Amino acid sequence: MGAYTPRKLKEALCPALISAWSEVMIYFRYRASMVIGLITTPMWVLFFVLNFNLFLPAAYRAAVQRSLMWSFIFLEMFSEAIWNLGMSLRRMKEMGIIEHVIATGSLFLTLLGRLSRIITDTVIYGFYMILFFYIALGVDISIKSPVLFIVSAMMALASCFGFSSIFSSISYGRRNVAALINILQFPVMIASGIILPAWILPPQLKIIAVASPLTYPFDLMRSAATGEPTLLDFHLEFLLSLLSATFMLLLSKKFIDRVEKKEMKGEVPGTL
Amino acid sequence: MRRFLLEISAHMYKEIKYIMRDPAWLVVFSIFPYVMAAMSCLMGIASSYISPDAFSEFQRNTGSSNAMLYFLTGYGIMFPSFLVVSVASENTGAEIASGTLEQIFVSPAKRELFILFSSFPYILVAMLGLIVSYAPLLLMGISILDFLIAMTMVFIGLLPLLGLGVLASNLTIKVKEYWSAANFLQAFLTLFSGFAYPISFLPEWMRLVSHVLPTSYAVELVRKYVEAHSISYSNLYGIVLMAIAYITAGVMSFRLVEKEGERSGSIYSS
Amino acid sequence: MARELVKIYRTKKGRRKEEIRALDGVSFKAEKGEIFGLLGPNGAGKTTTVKILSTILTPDSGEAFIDGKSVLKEKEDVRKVIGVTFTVEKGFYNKLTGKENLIYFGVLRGMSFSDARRRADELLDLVGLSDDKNRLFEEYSLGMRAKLAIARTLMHDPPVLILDEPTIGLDPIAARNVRNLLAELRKEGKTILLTTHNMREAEELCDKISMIDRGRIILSGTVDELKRFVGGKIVVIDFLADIEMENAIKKDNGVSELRIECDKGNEMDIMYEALTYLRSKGARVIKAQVEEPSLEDVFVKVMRKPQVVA
Repeated sequence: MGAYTPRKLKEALCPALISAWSEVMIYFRYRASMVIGLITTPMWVLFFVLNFNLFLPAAYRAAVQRSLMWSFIFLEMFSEAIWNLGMSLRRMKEMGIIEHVIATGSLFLTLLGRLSRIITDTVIYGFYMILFFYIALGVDISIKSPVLFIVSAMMALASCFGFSSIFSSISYGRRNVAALINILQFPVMIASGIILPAWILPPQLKIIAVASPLTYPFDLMRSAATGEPTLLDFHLEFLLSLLSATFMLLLSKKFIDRVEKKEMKGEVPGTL
Repeated sequence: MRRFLLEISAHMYKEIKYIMRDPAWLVVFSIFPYVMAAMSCLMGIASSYISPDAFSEFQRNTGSSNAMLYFLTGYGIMFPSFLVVSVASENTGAEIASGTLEQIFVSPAKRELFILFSSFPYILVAMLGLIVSYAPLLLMGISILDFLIAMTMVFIGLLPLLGLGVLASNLTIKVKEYWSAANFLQAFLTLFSGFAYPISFLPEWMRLVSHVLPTSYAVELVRKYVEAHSISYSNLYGIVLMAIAYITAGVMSFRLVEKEGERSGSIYSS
Repeated sequence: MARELVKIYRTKKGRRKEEIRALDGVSFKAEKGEIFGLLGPNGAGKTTTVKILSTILTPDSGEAFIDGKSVLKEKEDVRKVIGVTFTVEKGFYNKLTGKENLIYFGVLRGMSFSDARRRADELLDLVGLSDDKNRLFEEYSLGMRAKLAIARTLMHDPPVLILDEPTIGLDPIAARNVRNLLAELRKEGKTILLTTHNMREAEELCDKISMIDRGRIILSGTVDELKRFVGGKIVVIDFLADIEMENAIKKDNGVSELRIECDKGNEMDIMYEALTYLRSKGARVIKAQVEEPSLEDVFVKVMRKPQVVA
């Protein structure tokens, strides 16, 4: 019991806390990017809305736009995770930071702290997109089940973290990580029901969606927000979300530990 | 003349070396139009679960019966446009960040050639990527002549973007996050150019914006040719005029960069 | 030659306008075939001077000439006869090799590709980078970057070289190699303007030196002329002690060094007094000797008396 005093717990979590703090600080330093993001986000939203409207008679547009609003928020969460976390180990290596972090034995916690940036970004853009869809397109922005929404959002974050960290670990020694992310992100998002609801995917893609660990938490989030049906039975999907979030977190720890071991053995060439 | 050609060769040599060192993007570039076209078609398929008349609605709105070809045409212009406008709009900022701008300035090299031909190779490479990427369409019955004419139209359509990108780059030299201009231009072109829907689908005020974008003319030019085998000379002339206007504006705006450098030295990294 | 150069940077911090007088009437002259040193601490105005001479910065007033050509009115002609290094960490393309970078800048200066390739090989050999010529610039160490920067200045074989702190951040061996190279280039008749804050380097290399501080030239002359400004000798005592002493400099190895300027003939008296004082404070003296003044001594003395002595 003495090993788990509040003070010791705080000390143990210190790397995650300091990483969380620094990520948020850095996030707000890129003001031009934030401003441009606020300007371009509605443009991208309108692009996709208009794309959909090519196929939809006016009567159906409101419901679809509502689902699309959540798609954008999920897209932002996943995109921020894959770009920020997915490139994090490579970037840390290039900047010469990774050795310092490994020396403190807290690589996993440091990456975990980066969730703060993903949360900050998703919340800001989430609110912004909800406001935009409400004012510009008159979309219904109410959340059907707020508690379930928040719980599934946490599971989605955990899954995104796991997926992105694993990706980061696997692509660690490669130079063209950005190109890989560019190729992967849209197919992954389509196949995991992030862009389009899983229940509406063609049968061939549904099979992939069922197999993807990312699908369930996002599907639950969408269902909690809009009341749309889930891909599988609700209780099963909840259990699968919980399992996939836990599994991805544990698996990501293994992969990150492997990167640490590789670094300590000097198996990854330095950049200097 | 010899000096002129040597300088152009130097800039092209540098950029081509850069491009060849990072060929992964070529794979991305080749796949992306298909991924986006598939995603747009998937929206149609998803819509058909909601409304059975989805594809009829599409045909009514676009005049095209082949959704995949419609989107492939648009995205085939979108990605080269993105590449050219990104590179051109990041060029000055990237040179400032790498500390090479002052080295260019202390040499007797012509700045106008530098600013244009540092980005021009990307038009050639974009075209090469597009030709490779769209070559499978030849198996779908499109003739080689039609294919080459369409590609030529895309090439002409990209030229004004060089000037537009350079203009954006030079107007934003004081912004440390120099890639912001590229992000903005990509979103701007995407919304207003009609890559994935006809311009007529936009509200009236948005269509006015489309008129000043070369990509909207390029998309219309290529689509009219692919679908109806007709060449819209008005669009072609519009693009050529825009190329002259934007490139001239881009080159002249570089003087702002030079003046800022001479006045304050703030754009030099040392 | 620089004549009464003035450069004021005007910046805005929020609503407040700030003016920084980077150069305040800087004048100096370098003769053909000599290494001229512009010596001063960080922020003295060395880099601003270099940028004006290399035609990329316009002074608010004053004039400068390189090889008889005005940097304000004959920019194109000046650019043809100068080779310039700025910060050595950057200034090249990361994804090009050392050789490719040189070829690019060489062709940009009017060389044909074949000439540029041949010249690049020659210069890479000269600076000792032959084995690394096909490595990307981003893989180069700081020392290698410094050498590549010097190689670039020589691509078009200009008569005038302007080098802004070319040895900064280099390890002693790399710095020595660069200094040897510069000495060789002087023998070939190149005129070199060198800025540095390393007094020992300036003393070793430069034929003439101007000391600059806060935008003003405070002293100019040959090394011997500058040393005569101090007048006498320097008593140098190295010691180990726990005491803090004003004027004593703590070196990296923990030893403190005391340097006392004194008139000729008084050295022994001064040394005796200093040694007596140190012993009374419990210091353990390691070395005591009389030296000729160094440039550092000159600089410190001049800084205490901020007059312009040209």
